[in-house]
Amino acid sequence: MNKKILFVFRQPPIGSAKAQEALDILLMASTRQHSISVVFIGDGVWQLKTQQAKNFTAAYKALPLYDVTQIYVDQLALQERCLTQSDLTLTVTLLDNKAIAKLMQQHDVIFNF
Amino acid sequence: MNFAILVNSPPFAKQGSYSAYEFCKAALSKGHPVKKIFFYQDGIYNANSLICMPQDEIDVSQLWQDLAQKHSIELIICVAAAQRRGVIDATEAKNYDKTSTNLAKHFRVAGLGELIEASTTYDRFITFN
Repeated sequence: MNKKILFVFRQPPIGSAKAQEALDILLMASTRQHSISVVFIGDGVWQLKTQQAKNFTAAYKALPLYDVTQIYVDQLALQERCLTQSDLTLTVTLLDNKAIAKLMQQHDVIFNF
Repeated sequence: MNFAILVNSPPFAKQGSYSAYEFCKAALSKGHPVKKIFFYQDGIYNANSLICMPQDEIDVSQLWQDLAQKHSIELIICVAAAQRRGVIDATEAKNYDKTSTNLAKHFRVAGLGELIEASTTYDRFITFN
């Protein structure tokens, strides 16, 4: 059955393998008949930062090729880290906290990393 | 209400796995079936059969095995994450030319596809980090 799955990415791409292994699950989910969204919150926004030395982060650029086009970023988290849209490898939709809460309510399943 | 659980936390050094265990026990005691429990990321270490806990400390890995046996719950570890952490069954040991195996009883190895499947099949899917 087709479900709406939301991935919540909270961890930075360095310091642990959490981000890398979370991305593996997202890519696997994208091969199934489900609608996939992803939201980057807190230190998770670093996963989209351009010019990273980590190999696996190249895969984020490919998300639209996997039909993952609903990509959201925590607006406040960006501001707090002195980042803007132009620092990110992907075109994303910025959301405030209220909108992120609403996004979570709109999905059937949430993967929280 | 049916549950599927994802445990990303190791058995000893962090709280997540034991919290997940307590949650499962509570759900079962209220008559809610826990169908499948997945172990991913450092949660893989819950399936390491070589853990030797001191007698006066909680052996979370053993608790999972006892719970699985008592309630016929499937304990599943992700193959790619397990290989990276050196938790392997006989098939993997053969494939990678390893001299020993250390997958604990009542655990089995599966791919991420089964995790996605379970997350969208049961009434609730809950992650313990």
